[in-house]
Amino acid sequence: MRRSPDQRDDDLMLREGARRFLEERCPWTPTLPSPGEEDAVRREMAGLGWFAMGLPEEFGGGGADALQALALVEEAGRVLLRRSLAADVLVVPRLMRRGFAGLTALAPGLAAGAVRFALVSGDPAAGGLSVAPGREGVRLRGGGGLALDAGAATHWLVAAGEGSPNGAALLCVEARPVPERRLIDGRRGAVPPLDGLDLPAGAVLATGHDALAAIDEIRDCAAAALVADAYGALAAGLDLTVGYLNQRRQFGQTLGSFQAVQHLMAEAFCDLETLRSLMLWSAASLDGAPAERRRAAASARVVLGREGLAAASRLIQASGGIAMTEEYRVGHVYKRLQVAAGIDGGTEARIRQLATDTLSPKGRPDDEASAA
Amino acid sequence: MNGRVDAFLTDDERAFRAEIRAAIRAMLPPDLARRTREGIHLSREDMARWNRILDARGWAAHHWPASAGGPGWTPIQRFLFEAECAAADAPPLSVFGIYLVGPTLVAFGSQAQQDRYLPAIRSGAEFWCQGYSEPEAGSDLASLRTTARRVEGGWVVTGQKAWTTEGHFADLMICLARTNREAKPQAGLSLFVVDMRAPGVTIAPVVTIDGGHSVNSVFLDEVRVPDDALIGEVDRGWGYAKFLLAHERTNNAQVHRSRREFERLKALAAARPGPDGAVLDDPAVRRRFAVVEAHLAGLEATVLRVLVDQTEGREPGPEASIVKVIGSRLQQAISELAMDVIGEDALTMPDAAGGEVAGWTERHLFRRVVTIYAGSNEIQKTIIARATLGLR
Ligand SMILES: Cc1cc2nc3c(=O)[nH]c(=O)nc-3n(C[C@H](O)[C@H](O)[C@H](O)COP(=O)(O)OP(=O)(O)OC[C@H]3O[C@@H](n4cnc5c(N)ncnc54)[C@H](O)[C@@H]3O)c2cc1C
Repeated sequence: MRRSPDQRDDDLMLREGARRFLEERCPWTPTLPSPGEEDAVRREMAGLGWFAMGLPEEFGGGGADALQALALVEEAGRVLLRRSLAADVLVVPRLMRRGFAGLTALAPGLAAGAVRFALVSGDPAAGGLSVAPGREGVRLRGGGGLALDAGAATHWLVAAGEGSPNGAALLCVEARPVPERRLIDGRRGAVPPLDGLDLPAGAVLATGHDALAAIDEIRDCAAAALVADAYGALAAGLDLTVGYLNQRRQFGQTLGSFQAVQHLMAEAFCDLETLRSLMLWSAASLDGAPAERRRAAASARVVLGREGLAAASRLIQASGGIAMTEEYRVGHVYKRLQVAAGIDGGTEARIRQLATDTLSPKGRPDDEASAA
Repeated sequence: MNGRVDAFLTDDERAFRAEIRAAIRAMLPPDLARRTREGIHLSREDMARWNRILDARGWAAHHWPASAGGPGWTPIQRFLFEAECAAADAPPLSVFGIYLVGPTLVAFGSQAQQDRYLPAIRSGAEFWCQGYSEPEAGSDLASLRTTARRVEGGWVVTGQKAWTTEGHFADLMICLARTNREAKPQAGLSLFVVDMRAPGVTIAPVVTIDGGHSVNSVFLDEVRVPDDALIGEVDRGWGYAKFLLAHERTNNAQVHRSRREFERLKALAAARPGPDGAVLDDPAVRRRFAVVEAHLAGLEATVLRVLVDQTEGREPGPEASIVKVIGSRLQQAISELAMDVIGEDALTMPDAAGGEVAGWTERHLFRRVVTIYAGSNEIQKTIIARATLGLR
């Protein structure tokens, strides 16, 4: 069994290769790349085998595990890559193991970089998404939430009727043109117009318990990736800040020599490494019991939204005014973390979920209590 | 227990845990478990009793190498053993004999010292205390003033030790003293074994804010110790003390005691009546529990990251430096939450509150210490910033 991200001989090679590629081909700059440039980088990533890597071997993949996929996501976080890799290197390749025919047919396209996925779930505030019989097969009802890169995707993986096996359905929908929204951190998202959409029955990958299980796995995988990306962004931001603090002088000495500044950074480091530990736990639990996987993902997202975001704010504080400028990377790390913390219902929703999953339900005595 | 980090464990390790769990539940006397739950400073008798029970299975010195009488477990196995002990409310083993002195003697003591002292630590027959801190030497330990003067056939130790935990019932002290005034402060220190009943040793109790007595001032007035009381080489004591701190960092996290305390607190909050149902029905309380849950999982996962590396033969990464800081904070967060769960009942004098809430208030008050001792969190953060991050 594997429980460390730096255990296999190829772990380091993969990570270093990815870092070199990303720093050369898409280093962070304050100006946004054009969609054309993004597409070109995407093709090169496909050439490097990034999207094939995690696919099961029967679909021409390399059978890489979650830690390796997350290593790529983390490295992409370091350069604040605008287009998310999470769906295509981790979530969808893992989902292929479930053998949904409508999805596995797309494996070659995914490996080649021609097929790109966005993960779409219902907007809970708008009552979520549901599926009903429709003219061609099924019809979607309700609103989707804000989905990262939904405009750049060729396919939307849509989770409907979450929470109850009765109405649950997982669908693979060919993307339609959709107005994009620019997020505060330079990434793009869109709210796919799904209400009233008629789809052929073949778009439905799974229903009932199968769909619920798959939707849960997608959610927890996506959370692990979100945290890996945020950790990468923070770790690179911390490196940058340490370098800056050791070089900038005030009062005749380096900022890094002031204890108040040192402690700010030590606090940030504690938060950062706690976050990474939770990310590694999330990764390790992807192959285990769904209950632990769910707790790991929720815990990681809670710490992301609280301590992760606080760590990013400490990087700004320690850097001073320069980090308030659009030109400097640290402010963008903060925005990246803010988006990660707030997307999919945000931190408070994760706290509520963790409370539900780990505390006895209202009005029922706790098992531990009755045992004690 | 519904909040555990299991995914890092192999099947063999899970089987090991099941075995240990059953054994501990069978071995632990219920009255010991009750006193562990309710009190914070256990008596020597209670600690020794549990020590003896474990020693009969060869488990007392569970993190010592097999050559020194340890069971030969991997770091992960030790972690699981400690987790099960804490989950069963077993008394903690004495920090000083088992965790501090044993490994120090194994690493730096002579064979004769190991033969003389280790068996009695394992069996719980002898208790130790740690004489490092002094009134003028707290965080700046290297500035300590107690001296050991060379005399015919031994050394004469003179000075004052502060905060000596369990000094009032210890048989022996591991004492850091200055043997060289010329050298740099760190370079002139040596480690000695001091018999607490030797002439010239005086002990004065110090009562802490929880109302309990666990710490003492120890006065050493011309205390004669023999030649073989010196551990390792003269003037090398600082290095020995530091070596141990670095090696035992994960112990300081107290992750298992925190987990157990947190689970007990959940049960307490579910059972105590609140303004609307049980205390645990209050959404604000639930929210706080959930946040602590996430932090506790973060600590567990961090400690396991370190131990997995050690178990699989790799040097742990820089995350090892954070466990004291995040672990101690979490201990305080849990006891702070306990005060809110218990409410006004936690504010009356400890002996007035009995039953299910016994011990929480004292524990909470004493809990302030965990960010001060074992290298205060400020000192830890400075070390992280300088040694780990390279700020200068
Ligand atoms: C209950 C208890 C039990 C103990 N048990 C033992 C024992 O058994 N054996 C033993 O040897 N010792 C023991 N100690 C002592 C403990 O190790 C010291 O208290 C600790 O090293 C801190 O020293 P101090 O209390 O003198 O605080 P000080 O060093 O005076 O520090 C006071 C405050 O200043 C901060 N500070 C100090 N230096 C710096 C700096 N350079 N930068 C930033 N902040 C700084 C500290 O973090 C702290 O917040 C115990 C202490 C207590 C309270």
